[in-house]
Amino acid sequence: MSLHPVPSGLRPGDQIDFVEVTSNAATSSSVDIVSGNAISYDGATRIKIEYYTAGLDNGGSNIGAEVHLYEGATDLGIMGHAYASASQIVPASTGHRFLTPSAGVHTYKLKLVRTVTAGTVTFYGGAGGTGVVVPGYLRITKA
Amino acid sequence: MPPAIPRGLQPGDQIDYVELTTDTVISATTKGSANTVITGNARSYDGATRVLIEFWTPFAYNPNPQHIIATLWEDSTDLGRIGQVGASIGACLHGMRFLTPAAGVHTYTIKSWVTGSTGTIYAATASENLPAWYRITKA
Repeated sequence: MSLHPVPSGLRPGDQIDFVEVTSNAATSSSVDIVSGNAISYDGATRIKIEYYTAGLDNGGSNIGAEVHLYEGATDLGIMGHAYASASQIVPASTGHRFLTPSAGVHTYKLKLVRTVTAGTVTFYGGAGGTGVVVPGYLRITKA
Repeated sequence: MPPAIPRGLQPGDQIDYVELTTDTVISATTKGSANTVITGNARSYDGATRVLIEFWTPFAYNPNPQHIIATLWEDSTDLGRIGQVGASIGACLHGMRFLTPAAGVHTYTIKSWVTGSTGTIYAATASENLPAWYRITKA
């Protein structure tokens, strides 16, 4: 059983989970970006899952970089997407999903997927500081 | 009578939420004829409640070198552009607007138009996208 049950009495906006991305995730196929913590849900709490990255790089001409949201091993869908006819960094990319997890322990994860067999796509994250990208994040709050 | 905003709301409390689970093709090329993307529910405001109106889609894209623009409407009034994706780029789009609605019943709508060609606001779960949404919360 998880050591992180969702407390009762949460208000909308209260944080349930937060994990930073402090290094770039880059791939020529697919790669995990970040995994949240295992949290025990009561089956009635509606939550907001969101991510932020300072930049999502499609890596080349006519290539897509997709950010997929996973619940455990289940791909819930595309949470963010960058695509361009040339190499392009989409700035300040954010993804959001509202849902009510079923009762039990769940772990949410972001995965970066390249859509065609060329180039390298990148989800930016860093430690921050002078000239350094600030951290990306995966965050869960009460909706 | 539309639901009134309850007293005692705290910042972050939800006032309205509508999901979109199908793609919307955007063919309108003027703001006045913009295609409707999401229509919110009518809500009765007290004239003193400041709200945050948000719109998000996982992917907005015009495959030709033209822009795709999302606009926020209050009833029949265009409040302006809430998001825009440039030519030949596809990206998730998150627009936000803080305002205090005048007292009375208001319905907010997200519309979209393109500067040329045809674009799409993606939200179809059948094509693996997560739903797009519009949401109003107390600011």
